[in-house]
Amino acid sequence: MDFTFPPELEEFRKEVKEFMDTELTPEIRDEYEHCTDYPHGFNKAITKKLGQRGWLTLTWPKEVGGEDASVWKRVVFDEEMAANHCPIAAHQVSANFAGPAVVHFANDEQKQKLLPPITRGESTWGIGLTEPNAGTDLASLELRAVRDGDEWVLNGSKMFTEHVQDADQYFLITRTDVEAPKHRGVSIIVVDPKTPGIVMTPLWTMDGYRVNQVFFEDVRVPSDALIGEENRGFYHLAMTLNTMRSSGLGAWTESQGDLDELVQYAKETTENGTPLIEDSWVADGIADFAIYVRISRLLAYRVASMLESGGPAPDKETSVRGVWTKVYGQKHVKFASDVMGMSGQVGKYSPEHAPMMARWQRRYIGAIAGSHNGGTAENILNTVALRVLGLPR
Amino acid sequence: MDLGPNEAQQIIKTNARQFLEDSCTTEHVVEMEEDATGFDPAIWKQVCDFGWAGMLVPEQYGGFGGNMTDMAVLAEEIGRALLPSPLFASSVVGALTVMAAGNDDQKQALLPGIADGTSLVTLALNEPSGTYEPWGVQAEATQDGSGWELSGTKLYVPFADAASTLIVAARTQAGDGPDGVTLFVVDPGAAGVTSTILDTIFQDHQFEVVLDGVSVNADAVLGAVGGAWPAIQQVLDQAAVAVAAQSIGGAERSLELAVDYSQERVQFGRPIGSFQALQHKMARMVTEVTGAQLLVYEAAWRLAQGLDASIEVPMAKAAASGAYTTCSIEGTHIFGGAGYIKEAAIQLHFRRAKGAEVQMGDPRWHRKRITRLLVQQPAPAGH
Repeated sequence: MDFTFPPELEEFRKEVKEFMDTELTPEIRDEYEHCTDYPHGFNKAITKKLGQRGWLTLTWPKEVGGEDASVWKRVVFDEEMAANHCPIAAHQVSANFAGPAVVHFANDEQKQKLLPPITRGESTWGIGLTEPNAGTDLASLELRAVRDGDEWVLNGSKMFTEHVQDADQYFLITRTDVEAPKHRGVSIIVVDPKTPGIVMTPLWTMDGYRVNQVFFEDVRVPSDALIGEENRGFYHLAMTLNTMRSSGLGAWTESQGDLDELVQYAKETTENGTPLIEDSWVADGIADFAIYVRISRLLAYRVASMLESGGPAPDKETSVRGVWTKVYGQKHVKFASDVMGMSGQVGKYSPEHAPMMARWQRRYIGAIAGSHNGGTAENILNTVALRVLGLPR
Repeated sequence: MDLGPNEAQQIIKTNARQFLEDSCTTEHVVEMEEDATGFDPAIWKQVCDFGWAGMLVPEQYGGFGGNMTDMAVLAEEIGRALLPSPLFASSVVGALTVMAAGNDDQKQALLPGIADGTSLVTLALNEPSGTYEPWGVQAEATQDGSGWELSGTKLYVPFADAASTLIVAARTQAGDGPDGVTLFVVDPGAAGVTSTILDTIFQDHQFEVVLDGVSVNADAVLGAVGGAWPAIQQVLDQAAVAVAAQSIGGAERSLELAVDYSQERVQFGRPIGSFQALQHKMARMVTEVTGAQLLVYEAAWRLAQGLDASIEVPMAKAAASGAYTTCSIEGTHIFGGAGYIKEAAIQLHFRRAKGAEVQMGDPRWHRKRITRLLVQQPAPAGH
């Protein structure tokens, strides 16, 4: 056993911290708190600066503009990003989801076109997976792509797409074979969201962010919009989700920051003269929250150390980590909100009455999104039951 | 960073698993619950020959010289098999107490016997209050010539009947704080010592030990008069991690038993393990045990490295107890009536989990310790 964080990365951590201290001006930090176009904020200038340093795509291969860096280096970067609430949410989509799919499955020409702008922090992507009739049962998707000469013609719609309203690229999964079993007739197609025939209708979430329903009516894109093999898109997607094992491994630092703030709040806030922290229910819940955060860190480090060692893939560990975050994380958000009593309801537009920058009102709402966004809590519990424990269907 | 057992520890684990699967069957555990001594001397001799009893004892005193990570790995297997033995009482708590508080003569006198299993040393710390805080030690030690006279009631003392030596915590100075607590080496057969077995949920041979004017010599004092608490605290932390590791082993086994049974048991024409209601229970079980295990390893590693583990230890114990409770309760539930029967391994874990939960500090107490430390943290940046 050895729980020492790789010491050679301390220099790099210092460098990232210094960057955050200098570059994250109050205005940019505000993007994180108040941006309405993007959940968790998006600032193009800061994204570009991170891209110039090569930090956005550290673990990508050198030939596509990455640094071939260790997983741990990426963990350090992600930890500092999350701890500092760096507003580059939209770029996470390009660098951590769409980009890796292109790295794995695109041809050289497509890579040359699509990847360098991501690395430079200059290209924003939307991802179109969910549809009105395809949520958890994603394979039922109906957005039709039909080949017509050297073009694809798209008809249908995508639902709840974030970040796409001013994105440079739109990553779609489409139905290219209606006869085949549903998993085997799906293809990945990347389009420019400004292509004629694409119409976006904003949908505003209960916490004030924009997502979109996107309609496709006879949208024509060139044949090289297809990424990977035709009709193998669903399998490509599954593999891409696997590569996402290495993303979000630094996200626990955000919870750590939340916890530290809550402890401070419970020390400073008094009830008829007695600090909240002396209330045994508060004290007990805070300890439980602290255990949650520490285990979140260890589960992330476990995945990172397995990825780095190049041994067996951390499939089990990744799914378990998913349950931990999605299923077990919720109660601590509810707890923190409850600790705040009346002020737990107050939002960012009444800052003088909203302790901790109204963070817990946002977390409270965000938690309900987190319980289904990117796969439901039940879905990940199913995955653990079937894939990790080998229980029968 | 390597968050799991190393190669040597994997070997300890594999060998222990094999031996215990063969010799420490469910029938054996059930039988030992009703046994007068509470453990099988033949099995005890064998595990001592493997070096388990001397795992933590330094080589110069006849032990293996292992550290807390080695013990954590072994404890997982012991917790998994529910081995009825005085190993935890004597070779973890007893040995660590002598190592932390004793002088060299006392170590020479006590540790080799612990390491080869020929003597059993057990700590009499708790009292009826059940607390692990210094205020719980209220037994009195009064000066009697050059020696001491001990009176009071010690509770939850493991294997007090089989023990060759008791180490008794008593107050040489009245009070509630850490100052004034002294450790005494006491012969369990001495006049004035009465041990009565307790009816505990796991029948694991814990005793009430009443001390009624028990005379001991001046050299019975282990460590400094009135200054034993720091040593006790250190032992409690290490012992809490060992119990936590046993709990992880027990939780893992409970999960395995439930997973296996749910695939065999058919109702409504399907294995019950195909029902999502049960699948989700088991998915939660594996999640809790996986997370808690990492915390236990981290706490053990920090202790082994001599690093501060004051927050990791209570986190590990609270999380491991929580995981064991979840896995054994849900596991027993998944077995239905079949889990309620004495011969079922799962019911043993169900009951042992309750015992392990309160041993070396219950989760509520450990969470209090965590919050106490968090409160001392400096304010986060921006405040």
